[in-house]
Amino acid sequence: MRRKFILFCIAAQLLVLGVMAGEREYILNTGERIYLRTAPIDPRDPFRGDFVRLRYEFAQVSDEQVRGALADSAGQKGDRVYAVLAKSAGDLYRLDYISDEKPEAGLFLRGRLRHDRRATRGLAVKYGIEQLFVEQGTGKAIERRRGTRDGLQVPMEVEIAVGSSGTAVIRGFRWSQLGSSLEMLRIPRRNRNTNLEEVTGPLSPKLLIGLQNVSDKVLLLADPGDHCGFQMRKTARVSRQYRPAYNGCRGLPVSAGDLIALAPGEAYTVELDLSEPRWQVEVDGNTGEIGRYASDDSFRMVYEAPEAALDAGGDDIWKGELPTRAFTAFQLLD
Amino acid sequence: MSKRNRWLQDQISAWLDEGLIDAPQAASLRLRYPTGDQQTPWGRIIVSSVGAVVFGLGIILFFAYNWAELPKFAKLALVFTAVIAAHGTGFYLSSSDTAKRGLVESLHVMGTMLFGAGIWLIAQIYHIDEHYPNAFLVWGLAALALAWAMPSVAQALMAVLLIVLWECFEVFDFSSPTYLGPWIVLFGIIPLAWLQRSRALLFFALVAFIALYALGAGRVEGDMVLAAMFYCACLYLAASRLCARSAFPESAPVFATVGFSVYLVLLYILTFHEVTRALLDLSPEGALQWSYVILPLVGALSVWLILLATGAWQQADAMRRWNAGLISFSMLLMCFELVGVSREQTGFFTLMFNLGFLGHCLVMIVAGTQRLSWKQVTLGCVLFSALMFARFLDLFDSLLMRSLFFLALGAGLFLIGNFYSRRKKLQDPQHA
Repeated sequence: MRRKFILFCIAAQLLVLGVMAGEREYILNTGERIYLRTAPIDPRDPFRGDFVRLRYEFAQVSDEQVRGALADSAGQKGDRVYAVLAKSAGDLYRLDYISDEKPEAGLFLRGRLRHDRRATRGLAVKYGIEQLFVEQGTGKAIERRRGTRDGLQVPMEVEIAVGSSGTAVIRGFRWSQLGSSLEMLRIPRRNRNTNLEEVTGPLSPKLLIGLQNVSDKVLLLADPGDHCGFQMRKTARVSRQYRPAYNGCRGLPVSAGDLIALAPGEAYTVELDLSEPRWQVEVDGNTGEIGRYASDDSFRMVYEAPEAALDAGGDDIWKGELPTRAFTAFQLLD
Repeated sequence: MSKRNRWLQDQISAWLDEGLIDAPQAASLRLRYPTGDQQTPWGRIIVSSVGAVVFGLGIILFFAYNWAELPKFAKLALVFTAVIAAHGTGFYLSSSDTAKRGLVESLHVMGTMLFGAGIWLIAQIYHIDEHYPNAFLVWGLAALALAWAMPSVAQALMAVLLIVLWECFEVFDFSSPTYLGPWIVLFGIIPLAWLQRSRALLFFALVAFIALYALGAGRVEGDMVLAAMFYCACLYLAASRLCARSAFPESAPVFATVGFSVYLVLLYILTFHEVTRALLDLSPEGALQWSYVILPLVGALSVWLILLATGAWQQADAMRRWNAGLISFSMLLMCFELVGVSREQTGFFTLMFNLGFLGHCLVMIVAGTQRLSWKQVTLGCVLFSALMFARFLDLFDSLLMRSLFFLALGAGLFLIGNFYSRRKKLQDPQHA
């Protein structure tokens, strides 16, 4: 009897290991394969020996993207949530919305809240795919390729297999074809406590944005009109609602002459003065530059080819979104 | 074999040589005081188990390199093969030769180590980043199950360590106490330690239980840690007297050592005015908060009552009765504090705890002197000095008073030392 009990215990140990590996192997073989972009904001995170910490763009979810009962409830740390995904560009996916109710169909990831909802703005979610284990010593090469905080940052696109229950398993990764850099050419001399009426000159920064082709083929970008290839978006931590005050990019036609061809290694740089009307925002019934009405909130510049450019550029145009690192009206973040 | 037993065996041989006793008498004496050589080979088991653990760690680190050239299925095959080989060999040997118990036990320990390594390695292979304390729980439960199945003290020790790690990571890394940890130790480990008559396992289990219990209490209401641990210590102290009359009397000193150590440290902390005031301010709310104090209190009181009812205390010597009286006195004080006596009584309670602690110091010194136990006398003096220094800082500002205080304390310790030496000389036949 005792020997049977010992055998049972040993078998149980093997079963635990078998279930762990088997479930993941099943998902790898049968799950839907998609790519998710990790935000290019991670270089500051410590590299811990033999794994790279991944931070997905939807690790932080804004309040507008929350649905179900969770939209009206506090949400406790550890609560189960489901991130419903939508196709972004090519095989890349982005977050559509997040809910505490399991979707009946569609592609979704299972996750848990990292913190109580009241403790932070928006939701911080963990999906169980935040660590990429690599052979010891190779992690630093990945860090270097991903870029530095003050230089070019290249997003990693992680390939995952998603099971029907929302469990995700990392299959591998690739690098984005396009990298971005961000500098502040002009930083307003002010801080949160400055009396804005006493400030002379612009209240918002001037940015220098670089988009570099890090692939081995020519990429086409589109930035027609008054830099209509760029949008300024609030980060997920910001709860206030912002709308762009500038309407000049709506329905703007794009011709083949507006396309920018970037050879491998070549960069396209633009200077964006956020105190100009092009970048003014509508918030809380006011319209103006972010330096006046949004000094506490953080934003990202996002490059995305206008829809009209997709027709003009055909398959060669680079599709997708490329966010820069975050910034406020008077400093760079991340 | 203990030193005393070795001495006795040597003496029996000498008496036999000198003709003081004959061979049958020597054999009878040796039968009466066995050397213990036929008992469980704990030394071999412990060394083998430590070797297995270190070997297992080496394998974990080897796999943790995460060789890129090694295919995924080769890594998995290695993980499964290692677990099967370790457990399989242990299982095979256990059926063929009972004399290799140490080897069998260490092979199974290595198997469980490799199982734990397997959990982390499979997580590495599939880049799993789940709630990692769960891995410690599963690993600990696996060790616990084998500990009962074999039965194995080494597996149980591993289980204790893993359950403690699990609870600690839950509490400190995720601020989410599970409340289960102490009960797994209480119902899963301590009975096994009892059945196996293992004092080492019992010691670690008792330490683990009180630590985990305090962790849980701390997460529910931080200020309750002291009260919860205090009553747990009282429960251990009461249990130690009960165990002395049980089928496993060797467990009594283990209960007493852990219980008295924790009890004295807490009682010393309670001699401080601020701590007593914080306890008076404490007002547990709800059943969960109260349960952390009530359960060990009820347990301790029940065991004390059993001891009284069975006459165990009446048979104890005077020093033990003094100690029991002081412990009961402290428990009563703590009860009054928790039920919400006025905050204005802080000074009174602080004084009472000081007197209680002082009483224990004096009992220890007197008992140590009577029994000629230098350890007990030294401990009593150290605790007495600690109490005096604490009150010295609280009470005396004047340099004159401070100098008088040091003179009195030094003279007191000198007198104790002198008294102890004189008693020892009187007891020593060579000096008599």
